[in-house]
Amino acid sequence: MASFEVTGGKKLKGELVPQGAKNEALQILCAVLLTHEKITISNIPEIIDVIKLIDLLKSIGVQVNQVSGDFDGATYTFQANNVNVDYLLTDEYKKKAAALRGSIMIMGPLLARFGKGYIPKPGGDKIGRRRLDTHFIGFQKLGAKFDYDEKTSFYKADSSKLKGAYMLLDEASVTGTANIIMAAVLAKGVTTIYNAACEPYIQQLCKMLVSMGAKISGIGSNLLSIEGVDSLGGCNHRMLPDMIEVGSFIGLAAMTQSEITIKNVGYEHLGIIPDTFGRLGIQMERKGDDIYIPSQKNYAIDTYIDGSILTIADAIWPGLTPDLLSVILVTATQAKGTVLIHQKMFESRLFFLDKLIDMGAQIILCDPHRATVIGLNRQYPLRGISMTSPDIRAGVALLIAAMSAEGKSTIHNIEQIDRGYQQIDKRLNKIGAEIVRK
Amino acid sequence: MKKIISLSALVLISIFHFSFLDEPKVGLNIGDKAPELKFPNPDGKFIALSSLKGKIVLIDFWASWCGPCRMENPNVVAAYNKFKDSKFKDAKGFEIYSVSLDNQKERWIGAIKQDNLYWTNHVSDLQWWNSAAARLYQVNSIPTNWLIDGNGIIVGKGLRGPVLDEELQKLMK
Repeated sequence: MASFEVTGGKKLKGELVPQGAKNEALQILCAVLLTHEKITISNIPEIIDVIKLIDLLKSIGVQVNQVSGDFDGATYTFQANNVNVDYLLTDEYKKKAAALRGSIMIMGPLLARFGKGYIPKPGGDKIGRRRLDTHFIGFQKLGAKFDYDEKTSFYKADSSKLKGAYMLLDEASVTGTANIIMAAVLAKGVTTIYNAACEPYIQQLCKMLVSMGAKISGIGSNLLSIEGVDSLGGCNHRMLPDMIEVGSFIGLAAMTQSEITIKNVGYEHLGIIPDTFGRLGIQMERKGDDIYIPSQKNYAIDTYIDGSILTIADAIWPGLTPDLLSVILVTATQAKGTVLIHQKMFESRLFFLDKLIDMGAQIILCDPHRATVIGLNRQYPLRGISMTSPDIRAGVALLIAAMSAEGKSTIHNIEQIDRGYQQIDKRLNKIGAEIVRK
Repeated sequence: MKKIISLSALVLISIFHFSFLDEPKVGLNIGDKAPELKFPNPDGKFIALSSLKGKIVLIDFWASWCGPCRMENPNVVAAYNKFKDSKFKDAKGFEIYSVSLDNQKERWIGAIKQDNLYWTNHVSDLQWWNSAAARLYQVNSIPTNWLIDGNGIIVGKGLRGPVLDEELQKLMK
């Protein structure tokens, strides 16, 4: 298990370029299975989950080539003209697919194009239950027959030809919506998905499919209408910048009193994120598609208009993504004022804050979903400690805390950070951080 | 008489009112007014999308380095050949406003020649995916396109393959 040794108290200065969006990458990569033609995808984040998925695609027969890019972000071409569906029944595939939550999204494209799909029960984050019912009920509505074998933990779906249908999703799940869209684009007739997830990464998938020849209307809303077509063609697609990384960098800049320009943020796709950090009192300036954050010693948390304590809560898009709450919580520890952080979607994502309390932060954990942060307003810095990273997002929040802290910190289990953030140590060291990978 | 005056005033007001309401918002969906584009052609001369008002226009995003776009080009050329002088319900003629996401001028010009994209409205700021036009139209996948009517209102989008011909046919007299 690798670890980071972080020397805190360094002010950073310079530019950071966000990587391509992980949450977009997983579904976009699965969509290459929908055509026998070549698809080129650029700005792919080369993080473990993405590399694993590319590897999985290779093993089911997709030709993958890395293109030497003149630009930032990796570019790959994919051609699924020789897919071996039977490979899906092998033990090797079972092992690979089980280790990767995103692998569930190969199911929709496979069902659509080949009429069958198999997937072992996937793994991934341990942050509360993640049900897959939305996916499977959706496929069933399109006419697929579904089995779950409890002995082998294998999901198996069959359908000679999918047929369009109306469906109201029980939850606006991003991966569920993506999977159903990918199944519906090649189904016969019209599919209507109500309560569809509508975040930018779903919009990106829809636009890519339209570019490939799909007929989708309602993109950006929670009511999608998809008219099935016989086949799809190739396209060139570029991933959006990762909004979670953009948000993390804003929090990082404020906590460490750094002057940072975040380049090419895809501002129009950030939704409520800049405003939310603005409510913590952080000053920032939009310059074209960049965000400039000046070095700032103090930032004061907003209150509600009647003077009561601010609550920051996650919500389904266009609300605040749950993936940024850990970073916001950490950033609030040095703000002036008090904020209630309400993590509505997941039940165990706040437990990392006992490490922040050890570091000297003033936080009351109210229950598994809520925590009150009483900002220190820089009366004293956090203290460096030794800690371990429980999940991706808490990992980066702890890294930010350590970078602002006095003295050295050690963060263990940094594989959790590497899962979401590509070479984060190198990129931050370049502009003045002191992080050593051990 | 008084009644007539007040009535006609009412009619006038409502005409004003409704024509104001009818002014469509600028956006990227069908029924919206397409955002203005003004970018240089290979000679450096700026061409505005609005200069093509009165014609049906296909705003086509492509690049010389995009294989699928190049494969789609014969289809676009065929539509141009077929419809460029056609009379449409509310427009006369069909034009293509090609926005390239190229970053090397020679390759861009080479591909225009090679694929025989012989219409005059080719523009690019040579900024690759960071092209200001692509940012404005939120384009991250190509090929992709928008079809606008003589008033610049979006009547179709993402028209690939035979669908382009079908949509143009629908707009004919």
